[in-house]
Amino acid sequence: MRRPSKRALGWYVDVGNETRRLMFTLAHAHGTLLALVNIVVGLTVRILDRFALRSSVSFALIWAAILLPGGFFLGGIVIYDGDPGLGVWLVPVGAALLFYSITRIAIDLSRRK
Amino acid sequence: MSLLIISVGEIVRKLSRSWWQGLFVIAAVAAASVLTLISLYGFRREAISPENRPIQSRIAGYVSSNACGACHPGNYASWHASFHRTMTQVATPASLPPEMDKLELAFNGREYKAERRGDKFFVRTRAEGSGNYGEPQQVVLVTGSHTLQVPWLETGEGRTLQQFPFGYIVAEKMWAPMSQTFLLPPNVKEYYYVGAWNGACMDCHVTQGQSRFVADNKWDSQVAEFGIACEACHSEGREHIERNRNPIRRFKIHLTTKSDPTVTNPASLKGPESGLACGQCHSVWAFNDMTDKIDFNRHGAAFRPGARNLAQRFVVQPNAPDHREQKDFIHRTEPDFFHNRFWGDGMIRVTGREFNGVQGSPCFRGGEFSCISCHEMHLDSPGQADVKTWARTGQLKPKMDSDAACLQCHKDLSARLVAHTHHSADSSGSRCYNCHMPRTTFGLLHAMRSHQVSSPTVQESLAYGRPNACNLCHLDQTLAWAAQNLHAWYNQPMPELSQDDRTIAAAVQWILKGDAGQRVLIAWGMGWESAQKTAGRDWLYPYLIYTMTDTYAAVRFDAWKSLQTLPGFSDFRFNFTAPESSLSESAKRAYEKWLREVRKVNAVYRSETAIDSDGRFQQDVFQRLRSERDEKPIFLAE
Repeated sequence: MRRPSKRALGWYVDVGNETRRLMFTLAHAHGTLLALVNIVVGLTVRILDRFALRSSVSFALIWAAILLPGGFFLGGIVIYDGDPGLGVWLVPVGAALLFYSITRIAIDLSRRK
Repeated sequence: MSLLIISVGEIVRKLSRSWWQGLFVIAAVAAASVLTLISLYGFRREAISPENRPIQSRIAGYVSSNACGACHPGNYASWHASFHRTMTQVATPASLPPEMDKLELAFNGREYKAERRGDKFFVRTRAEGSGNYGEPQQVVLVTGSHTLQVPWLETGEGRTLQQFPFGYIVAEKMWAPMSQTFLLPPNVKEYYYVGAWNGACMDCHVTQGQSRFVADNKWDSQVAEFGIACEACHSEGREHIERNRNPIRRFKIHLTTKSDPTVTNPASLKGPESGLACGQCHSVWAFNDMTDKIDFNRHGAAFRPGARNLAQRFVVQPNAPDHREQKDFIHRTEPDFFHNRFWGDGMIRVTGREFNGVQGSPCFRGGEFSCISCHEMHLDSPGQADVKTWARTGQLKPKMDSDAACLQCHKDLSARLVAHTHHSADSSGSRCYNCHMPRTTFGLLHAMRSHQVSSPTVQESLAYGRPNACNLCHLDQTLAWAAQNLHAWYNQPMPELSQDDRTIAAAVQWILKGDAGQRVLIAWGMGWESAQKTAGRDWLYPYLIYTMTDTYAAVRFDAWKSLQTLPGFSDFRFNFTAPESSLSESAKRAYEKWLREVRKVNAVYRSETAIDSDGRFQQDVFQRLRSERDEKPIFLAE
């Protein structure tokens, strides 16, 4: 295997690229957690009787799982010193979708007879 | 109070089901209280500013590098690795030279003994040979870090500092009297007066210092930050931080080419303004008048990077038409001011004032050339060395230690290099720096490249005594030889030359009969590898060994260091601060070693070197040149 060049390593490990490392860490963590959320929701639907996901909730949940970690990841590719790149603006969109889906599921579950 | 006790009792009763649980809750609360009090006491103790030294304080608009580091971690890290940061530090075991607590030194009739108490260091002094040491003075600050470290002592007079009269030469791991680490006449023993740090050093060794004179050499000095920090070059950061709390503003700036008006970036300024950001310290400057001096003293510098002039101050260029009145005043009140800093034609001759040279360069007139044409204050360029190498090599941009520096603009010369230089392409004579930025400035015990880009002439040596670039490399050649070549190659006029200038190598003349400023440059130059390759090494020994007995300590030091670069002497030990008798003894030892162990029996010495076939000085020439030595005191005020 070829050794990564000093410059390529520096792109990630240099002290000035702290923001990039943070963004990638957040992307990793959110990707993992949202995958788990999706699994839990899927199992919930499967286990519970008389409970179905609205299509909007399903859509929001899937896109939250893409946009949240994706935003962090894209935000880490181009950084401006302490600021992430433009891609980070996808994060609040993903967060809003996640909030909607979880809230909707909670309401639907509480109304279930 | 009783209500409080009842309430606490009630809470404890509710929280606990038995007496021992209650006891546990009370003990936990008590322990937490004690720990909180201890923390508060420690915090308060740290927050109390020491009264025996200058302090960092909240100077309007300045926020310190810590605030910058949060958003600019890369730039913060490269600055942190640079020696700008450590130009002044609070004295701690980490910032002071190693084993300072074991120090026992004597100089100029006084003995000094250092001791350590916890993390603090103290110095006691006494007259040499007398009884007890006096009261301890705390070592409170240290200036310099990579070449020379200078500790500063409390004086008991407010925040006024006194210099510890020894400096630590980092490369040699040795202490030397401060007066012997500068090019000073041998009769000058004390270099810094009490209060010198407050009155002079802090003008440039801190960020936005306010020396704040009180009375009778008592100072209440405060600084925005010790060392040269972010805000020295980028202006104060408070407004920048406050306005950039808004992420939309930040992204607007990131996504457009607009620069942020709340902060200055010297890298995006035009040459003169960019250079002045460095030149606010790296220049010989003077105050416009007494009012400005007082204002500077009370409020700090009014100059902010980006401005076109130094506000209360001006860059002193002896031959420039500006500030005539002020320069006349300096001439009258401090007659040696110019001589101690400039060559006769106005070229700077002391280290650390590079902006004078940059400003005096023809390149500067183009409006683009500045310090950052070759240097960078952060590791911005691709291909940059690791941060430590970058910091130790003048914070140069990649390849800027080569011809690439000049070829940025003089692109056409790379195609006709040999035709221009008249040296082979791989010769040191074809390196732009060696001819156009020769080592004619001096400071911190070594010769440094002039930052005034110029072309070598013999006239500069004849008229002003400045060793020209040709003879700084061709140490074994005469001025006549240099003049003939410069005439033949560049059509320079032939100067009138003396018989000595035609027959004796220029370097031999400078090191024997030159003033201390010339001698020190040649002593250093004889250790320069390029010069040794060009002019040969064998004949340098006797000159360097003889120069180790020079009356100027700095000249002796450089002669010794150059001697160490020659075969057979790399591990030669020599105390350049020793008394005269000891110096002669060391020189004798070195000469014997050379004569018996190192000298090549069949070595041939050019007649211009004034060394005879036995390797001895041609006595008539040596004695005559030595008797003609220019003994005028030289005081290079770095």
